Amino acid sequence: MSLLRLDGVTRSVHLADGSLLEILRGVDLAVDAGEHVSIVGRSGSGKTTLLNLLGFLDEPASGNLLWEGRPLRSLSTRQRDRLRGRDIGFVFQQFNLLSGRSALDNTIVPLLYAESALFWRRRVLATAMLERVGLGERLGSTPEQLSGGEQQRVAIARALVRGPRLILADEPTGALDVETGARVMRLLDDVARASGAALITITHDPAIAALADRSYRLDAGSLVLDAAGVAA
Amino acid sequence: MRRLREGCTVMVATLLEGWTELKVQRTRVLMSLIGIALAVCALTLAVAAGSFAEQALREREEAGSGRPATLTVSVWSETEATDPGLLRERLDPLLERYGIDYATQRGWGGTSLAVASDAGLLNLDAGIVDPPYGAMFRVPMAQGRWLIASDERMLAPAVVVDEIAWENLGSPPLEGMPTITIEGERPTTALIVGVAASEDSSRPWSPGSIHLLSDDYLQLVPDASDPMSNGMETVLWVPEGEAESLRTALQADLQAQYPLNQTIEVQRSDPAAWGGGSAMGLLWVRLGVGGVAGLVLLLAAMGLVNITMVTVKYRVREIGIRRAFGATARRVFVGVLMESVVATAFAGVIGIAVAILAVQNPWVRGLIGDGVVELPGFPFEAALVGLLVATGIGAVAGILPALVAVRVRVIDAIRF
Repeated sequence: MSLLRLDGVTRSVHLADGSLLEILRGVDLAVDAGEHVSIVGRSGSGKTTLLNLLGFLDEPASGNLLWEGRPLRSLSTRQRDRLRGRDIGFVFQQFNLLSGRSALDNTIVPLLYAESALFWRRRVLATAMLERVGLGERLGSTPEQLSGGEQQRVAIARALVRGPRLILADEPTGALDVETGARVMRLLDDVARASGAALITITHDPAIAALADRSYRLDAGSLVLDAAGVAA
Repeated sequence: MRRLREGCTVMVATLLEGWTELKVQRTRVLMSLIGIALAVCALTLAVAAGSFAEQALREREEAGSGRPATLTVSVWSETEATDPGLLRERLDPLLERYGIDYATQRGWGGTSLAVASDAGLLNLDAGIVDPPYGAMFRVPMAQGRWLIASDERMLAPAVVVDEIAWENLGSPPLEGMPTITIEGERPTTALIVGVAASEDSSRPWSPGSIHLLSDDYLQLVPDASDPMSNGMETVLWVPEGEAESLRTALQADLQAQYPLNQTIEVQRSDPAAWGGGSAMGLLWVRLGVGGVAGLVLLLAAMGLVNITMVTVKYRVREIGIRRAFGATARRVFVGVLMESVVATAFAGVIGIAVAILAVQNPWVRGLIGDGVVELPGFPFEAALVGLLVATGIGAVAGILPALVAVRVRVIDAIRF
């Protein structure tokens, strides 16, 4: 059974003039635990809409979105929020760290919504995760005191600290230079593999997409397997 | 058990989140809370001032009619004269039996004594009393002391004059044991042992007053034993809870010692017995003070709502990030609400502390407690009201921003 599966998912919005705009058309996707999948697409191709659906932040207009075979529709909003907090970790293009808070406080954020066992050990867990991404010496530094690469490493530590089963990375190297971006991406891939989490990377950079086991192209709302991007 | 543990964890985590947020936003929070702290301080001070005003009004009433519970004992007859001295003789054993420590005779008023001064004769209003009168009617002393039991054995009668009379007599220093001459059939030299405080409002029309012991007065005015001419009555101060039973018992015991054509009347005469004369006045004072304080708080609360709304808009991205990492809508709602509540409660505590410091300041106490004999300490209810109102404002002011926060669309917020 796949960890996450999309069967014929569509998503559309009503425009001001009353017409219907189809953003996603019959998307099929299955991601297993520990797999690395990339989705490439141009601006306006529907990447953000797909990310919302994959992160349980939106519902499809039609089709099915299943988590371990369980339809998303069968879950209440609260259950989805909890499932997202427990099993999904986000890495964003602009890092989205909380300003004014230290690297440690930022990494602790997901643990504030975790069960008791994790909450009461939050400092230990967050410190260990920051050490794992090479920021053991920068625990007290705020985002303003960190470089772009370091900020993204804090973001990776935050995404992984609760032990998610799926990591959603939205343009994770978009705000970094090529060299730093490649280093950060390798780190994300290594840490995700070591923890056994599935990784879905949404990017417009073919080089980043090439790091994945499977690569898809999102074009005008349709998701197609990019044969050239499949890892050997 | 597990559910309880998880519930506690959520509560601690929410408080921790709110506290961290307050720490990070301390400058903004501080600025927004100054208004709340000032408003709570004003409210607390207003409640405290109301309490002092109430005490001042109560003391003024009690100075005229006695403290709770005051019983007035009198005997009257339509057919023959009655003797107040005899009444006191018959009353004394009963006071001992019922353990009543405070009893005094009191002139009805209308009695005056002529006292010689440099400016001529002063006709001072005379108060004929026994030593317990001072405590029973809260006589405020400006200088010296009140009359005591041993004064009855002095060769020269001891008197207490009020400040107006004292000034009219040339303000003689009490250290020099000043004397005055009370004119009459037998001019008598009396010793001023104390000066009672006067109300400024009585200055324009009063020549002043003089208090002296009833035995001394009877020496000065021998025909004062006629009750119709001296208007004497006996007044008792008894525990409020026992007032009715004592009244009934004294009435019955005394009446048993008098013939049927003489009637004993024991009546409760303090203001509390008839609901308090100033009750309505106090109600209006409280409503007025409360209204002003409420308006101040309303303005402060609106300011807080305004600032919190702006802050929530500013924090949309942060709220989106928290939602992405598992914060439920309820958690975000409670979190934003708690920030507001914790912050205003904290501001409330600061406001109350400032109010307490202000009220306990000797200069302020002197100012607001002018003329009050038993100035109460800082009223607990004022602090309680201040804290409850501050917390309530935090909750009310936090609801709107909290509702806005839960309506945030996560991905839109993250890309904000």
